[in-house]
Amino acid sequence: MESKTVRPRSGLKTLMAMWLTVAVIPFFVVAIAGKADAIVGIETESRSHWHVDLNRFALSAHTGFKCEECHGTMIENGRTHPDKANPDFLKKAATRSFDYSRCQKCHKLSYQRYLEGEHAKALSKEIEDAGADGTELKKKTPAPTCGECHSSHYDRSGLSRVDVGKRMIAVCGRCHREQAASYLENIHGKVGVNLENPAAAFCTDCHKAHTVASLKEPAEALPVCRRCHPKAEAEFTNFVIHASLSGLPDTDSPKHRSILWIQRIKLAAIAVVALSLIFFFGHSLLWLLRELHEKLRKH
Amino acid sequence: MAERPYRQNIKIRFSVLHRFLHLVVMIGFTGLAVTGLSLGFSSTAPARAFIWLVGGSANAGWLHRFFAVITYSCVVVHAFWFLYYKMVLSGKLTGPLSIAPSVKDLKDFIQNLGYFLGRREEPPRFDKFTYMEKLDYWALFIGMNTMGITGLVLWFPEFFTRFLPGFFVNIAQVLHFFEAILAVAVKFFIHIGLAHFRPAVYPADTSIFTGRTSQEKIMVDHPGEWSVISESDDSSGERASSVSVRAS
Amino acid sequence: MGIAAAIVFLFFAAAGSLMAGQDAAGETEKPVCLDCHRQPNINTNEGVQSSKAFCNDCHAKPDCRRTVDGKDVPLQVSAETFNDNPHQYVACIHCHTDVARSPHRTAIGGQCRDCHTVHGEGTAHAPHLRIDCQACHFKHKFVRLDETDNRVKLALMNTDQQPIGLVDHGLDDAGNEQSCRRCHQPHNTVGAPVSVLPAKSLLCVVCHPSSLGVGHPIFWVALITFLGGIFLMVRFWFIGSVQGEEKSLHRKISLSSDAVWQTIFSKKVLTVLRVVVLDIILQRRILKNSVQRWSLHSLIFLAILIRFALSLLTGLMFSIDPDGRLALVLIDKNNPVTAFTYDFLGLCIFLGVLWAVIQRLVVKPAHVKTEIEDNITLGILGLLVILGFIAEAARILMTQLPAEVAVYAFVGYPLSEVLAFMPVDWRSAYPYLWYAHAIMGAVFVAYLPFGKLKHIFNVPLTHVLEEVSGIKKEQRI
Repeated sequence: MESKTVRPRSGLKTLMAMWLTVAVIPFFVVAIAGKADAIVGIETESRSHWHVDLNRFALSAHTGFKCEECHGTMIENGRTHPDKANPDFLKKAATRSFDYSRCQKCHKLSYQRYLEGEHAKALSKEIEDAGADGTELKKKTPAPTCGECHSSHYDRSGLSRVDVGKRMIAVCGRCHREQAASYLENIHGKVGVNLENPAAAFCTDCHKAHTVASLKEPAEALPVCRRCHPKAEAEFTNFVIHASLSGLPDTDSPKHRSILWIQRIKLAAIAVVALSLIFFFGHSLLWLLRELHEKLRKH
Repeated sequence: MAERPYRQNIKIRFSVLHRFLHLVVMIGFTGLAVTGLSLGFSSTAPARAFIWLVGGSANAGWLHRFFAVITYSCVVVHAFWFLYYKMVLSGKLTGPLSIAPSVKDLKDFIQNLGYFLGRREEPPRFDKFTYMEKLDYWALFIGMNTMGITGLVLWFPEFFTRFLPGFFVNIAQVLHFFEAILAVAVKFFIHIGLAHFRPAVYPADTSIFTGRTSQEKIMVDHPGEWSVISESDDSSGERASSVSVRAS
Repeated sequence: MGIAAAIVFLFFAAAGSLMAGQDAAGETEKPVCLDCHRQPNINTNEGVQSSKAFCNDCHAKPDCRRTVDGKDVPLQVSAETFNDNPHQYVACIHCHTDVARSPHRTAIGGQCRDCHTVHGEGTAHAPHLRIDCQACHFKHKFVRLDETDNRVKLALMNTDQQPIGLVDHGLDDAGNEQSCRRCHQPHNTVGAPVSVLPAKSLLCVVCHPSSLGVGHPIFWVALITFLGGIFLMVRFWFIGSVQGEEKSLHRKISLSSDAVWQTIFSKKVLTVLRVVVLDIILQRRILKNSVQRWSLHSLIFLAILIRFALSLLTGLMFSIDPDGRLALVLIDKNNPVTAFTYDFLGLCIFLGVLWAVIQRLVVKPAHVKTEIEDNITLGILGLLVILGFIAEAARILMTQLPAEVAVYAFVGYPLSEVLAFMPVDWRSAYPYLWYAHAIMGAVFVAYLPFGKLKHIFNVPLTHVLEEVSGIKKEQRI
């Protein structure tokens, strides 16, 4: 039998093979490794800086206001600002020094709605725990006042629904880290934040704006779910969106048990997938090597 | 027929129905993978680019369900074909021409491993479907039904939570995601690799598209099958075996 | 430290006083312009609440009323009407776009189309394009025909000539037949047929944009008959031998499907395409034989083909872009271009059938053999088209379409002028005409695989098979 040189049957088919190697594999590498930052370009600062950037202020919602309209004069009860004799001088957080009831001047409804919600309850609890003499408890996550979430100097107005939603994840997520992370792992977060679908559910669509609700009770959660899932029934509310164990008050609640089951099944699935892939890839590699060996030996 | 050289004696291995179903599943699966991965890995740049291309996540979702319907329709049609095979063609469920697993497959696997590792000179004598092909088929059977059922739960969560606990939807999502990873990894690397990169078929094994293979290939790759069909070739009425055609 | 405590105390004291529920906007504070006049961002949940609060300042109160012509019209929007409504999450000004101004009245009403698309052929079909959303989707059922723009709108008075308060935001999803009866009843003043007619079935897609469902039982019967006929036809084809195989049906099907597969996935597919374009669509072989025969056949065939293409295009455009201009023009029978085109094509079919009848029954050339099936076929087609035109004319009359709109239907409009002389209540007559045309259409589809119209399946197939297998011209059928 004469030996024939092996030539590809046509240029097109070789091209196909090359394309597969060059394009498909790197695509997957890039897709998995190159994670783009989904929350970019949204100003989320609420940190108080001594200096106000007037360029950014000019673009904000409060542009055009005079400082006095919110901050009053620099004199309060006979003392001038800055008051070096004040023992809290340079120590107290700005969000605990400013009188946020002044926001009611223009934001009456929002302020009243805030007072009905969980954040106001947390604040009043913090006051109680702080003691009658005004000593502040050192807390990692202080209870939110207006200033914890909103930057009166820099927040813009008239943003689109998706931009507002993305901002919410960044801001609420500063204290509710686990919830923000688990939300982004959930379909609501993926569709809303990553894929920017305006019909998705962001924080306040479920937890309501300013009257932040906890939604722990199915009776409270069902009307909320029904906003987008009108045919939902009671059991539907037991779908877990914030699937994190920390922050759950009760270590033996149904939600706790559900999350444990989800984690177990996830581990099992990873194990099955890993073992299967090892088997398939290993077997195919051995097969390819053996066939190549046979082919090379024939010439 | 015995005088014609083996390489030119063309046999039909896959009927038109099977070729058509494979084509539709191929397209459907690719569509499902692309749309599904762009949700599963939605924080990556290629995913966001794809969503932009199809005009939003709602459109991608619609496409995903469309491809799911046509792919699962192929499963249903295949099930009807199986009834036809059993009842009209009197096909056998077991034996050398069947795709059902048997003890011989285990023996073949061990022998084949020995062959890969250089302990044996010859590969095992495979029947119509090698153990790898059977594994592929049955893994697909389990996989597509898993994806189908979990997919249905994710498509109609309000309906399914009427009688299932709410966190079953979370579990459906976990299983759907991991089965997808497994399926995509196996199909896009293993299946395509074995159909394109194996020296025996390089650059491509076209038999699933043309339906045709040569007698030589059957004798080499599936000798167990050849010994069965070469007997029935002489008599008429080839039911469940390959069909001979003129090599024109 | 004391001062700090004082400041903190003041802050929380103010908060506390508010928590106690006192109205801080009382006598001690001057109202601030921006408290009300700041534009809320209605993209946010908070903004929606603020916006609604602004309107509810007046409209939530029972004393929000007006007197019109001495009659009392309530304008209170109560919370109950909103409770189960998805619109409770939407700001008032999102829909009522032109009302936050002085004078405080709306010129255009609620803008449903800002968020919702119009219904297509499937849900509520094209005749309903001339109806405002509110006329169906409002709880109260009084409607009127506005003569100025020939649109059906909500009536402002009920049948007792009392003004209606239009503030019930508990909208009707109009899903059941009961709500259709506000217009589709014998004494309606809006030009609606007296009974609720079904949407066009999928079987109608041959000539009309239609819904995706089969619909009324007569269409199911027609579909099953049609499919049965196709099955019998194909079974007949497989009685012969295929590539030498005489006996085994399984093998015949395998061989023929394999031949089809091999043709499609090879260069021969170009031959197939060439035959389809030249011989099937353009009817080259008939033209080679006789110009007269080609013209007669094309009048009928090409007109139906173009109508079918338009139906498919409409369906496609409506799926892709239901609010787009093209989709809306295509489903609007009163649009000048659409009306003209469909009337023109219908006329072509009619003239073709007429010509064929004259050829077969009057001129009777020697080479033409007329069998009973030919007459049945021409009868069905002819009757179908005639009934279609009559139904169209009746529709134009019934809906009181103004002449300057209707004139583009250059067959239907003159016919409607003729029908106008007849002392018929077209609202009552129209359902009969619709069903007559629909039944005729169902018969047409059902009869396709049985009579002479079978040729629409046989002849193209024969052409393609002959070209692909390269049979010499002399041996062709």
